[in-house]
Amino acid sequence: MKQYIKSYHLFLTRWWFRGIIYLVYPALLLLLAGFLGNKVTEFTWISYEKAQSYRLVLLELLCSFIVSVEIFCDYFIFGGIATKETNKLEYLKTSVKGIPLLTKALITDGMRHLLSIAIIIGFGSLLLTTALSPLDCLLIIIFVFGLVEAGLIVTRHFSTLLIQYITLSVITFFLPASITLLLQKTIAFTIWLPLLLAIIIPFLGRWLILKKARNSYYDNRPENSL
Amino acid sequence: MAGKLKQGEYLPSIRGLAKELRISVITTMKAYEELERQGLVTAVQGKGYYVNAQDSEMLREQHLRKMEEHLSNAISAARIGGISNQELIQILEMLLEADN
Amino acid sequence: MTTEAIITMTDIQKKFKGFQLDIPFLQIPKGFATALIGENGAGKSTLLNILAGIRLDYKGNISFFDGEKDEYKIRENIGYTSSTNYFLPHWTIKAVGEASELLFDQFHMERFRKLCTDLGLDGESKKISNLSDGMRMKTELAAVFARDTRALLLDEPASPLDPLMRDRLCTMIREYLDEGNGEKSVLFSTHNIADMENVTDYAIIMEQGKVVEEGFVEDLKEKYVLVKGENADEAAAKPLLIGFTKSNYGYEGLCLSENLDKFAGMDIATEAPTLSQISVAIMKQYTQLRG
Repeated sequence: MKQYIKSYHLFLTRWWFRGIIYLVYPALLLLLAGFLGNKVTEFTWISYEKAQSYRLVLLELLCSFIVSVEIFCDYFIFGGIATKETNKLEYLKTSVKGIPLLTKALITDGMRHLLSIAIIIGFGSLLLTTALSPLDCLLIIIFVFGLVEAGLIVTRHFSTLLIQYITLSVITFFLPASITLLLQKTIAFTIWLPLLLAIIIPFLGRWLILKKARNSYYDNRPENSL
Repeated sequence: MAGKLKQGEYLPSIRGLAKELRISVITTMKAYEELERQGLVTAVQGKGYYVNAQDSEMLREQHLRKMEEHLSNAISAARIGGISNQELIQILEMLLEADN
Repeated sequence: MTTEAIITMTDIQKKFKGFQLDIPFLQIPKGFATALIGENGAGKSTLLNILAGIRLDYKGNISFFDGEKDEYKIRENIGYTSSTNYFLPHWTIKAVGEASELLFDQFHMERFRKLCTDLGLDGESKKISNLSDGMRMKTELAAVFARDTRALLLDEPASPLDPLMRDRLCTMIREYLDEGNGEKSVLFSTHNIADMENVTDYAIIMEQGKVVEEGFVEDLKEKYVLVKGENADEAAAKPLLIGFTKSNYGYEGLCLSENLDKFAGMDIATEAPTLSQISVAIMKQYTQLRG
């Protein structure tokens, strides 16, 4: 266990950055949720229906923030790690433990994403008193997690900051509408989409990175131009 | 032969010497091989080179040869410089006295 | 002189970026410092990459440490420094130490810290991307010398270093060889042999992916002789010499010692060549043939 965290921390080097990722950003978002939840409660006295719809929108907003922060911060952790012509991994490659180390770091990172997202959305929805059923909540958590992972695939394969911004914009633009649709519980969305996102994409993303890393041992393979 | 290492003692390792003198290992190795060729040291597998028992007869031979060589050089220099044999012997005597 | 080999390469072939590495047979002697000499693009880095295990697409066989088969044991006992940065750019010097600890079992953190101080790398929180090339090379060297290894593969270690540090590097190499007492070896590449000449025991000269000359330095200095002569004799002398140069005061070139008697009758002066002169002359010869 300690090995996994140590490996992850090689990529997440600065102690203050660790503080931000583990504590500050979840805390801030939860505080925001609490604050907004209060405001909404006040608003309930004015209009109950409007307040209810606001709650959901606010939760979706919270999700947008999560996605933005996660994808943006990853630039400083694994940014561009799977780009072509990079020799960032060469030192790791001189040891047989190099690629396994990268694998451990990626796994720890995935777990950390899931945990942060679950905590923020879980407690966030309570703070916002959205009165979502646990199943709906779970659905949203899985969906956001999958979306973040999808975004990360893009940002880790390209090294320019511009790509990060474009990806972020696209995802956060479609996020609120997607969550609303998700909760409508139409068959395709409710079952297949979360499955795809939460299970296939995280593994796909990591598999792609490791494949690139293994291929970097070979100069001439065509797969190198993935 | 200046008496720093006694017979039977081991010379410094080739790499240790190279480190001290700041030269390449191959240079010290060749130097030791040359010493071995001259019969002054012997190589022992795994341990290094040690100083040979002094054979005074052989040593004397060697130094005799060296002395003859140097004297021949002195004679050539005298010839080129147009210095007479008399002068040469005089200078030699002077130097011997000064050395005493 | 019988010496064992620490690395043996047979039939190495690799095609890469319009250039071909072709080495039928090469051995690196054990217990010595070997210099891989060649112009830029001669194939030195490619060869070192293959030996360091970071490039696996090549044909041929390589044998390490008397036929060691365990990849872990091989990599654990080889220290490699690159001619470019091979660390993650956002790493600090401290992070390099931490990474090395995770990657290599025989890494000693105290030794790493001491080396960093000795080499003038203060400020453990300096980012690799903010370091000058010289500082970065010092970090790479500190990381490999802080490990217990049996062989060092250094790709152009002297290039980014200032003269004082180059001298220091030579001392570090000698100490490494001395510690090993014949069991440790160093292979380094350089395109400027003059700086590393006094630590080089064995030289391998490469041109266009092939080894064109190799040997112990002392043997090479006996094999070749530097010949200087009068311009009048140019026509007769030129075909006998490698790396022929001419000036108003005469010509100069390298000649095989066995061919020296062919100069009979010509007014020449001879001297023992330096490794630098040998390398330059041989590399020139092959560059000319390329036309």
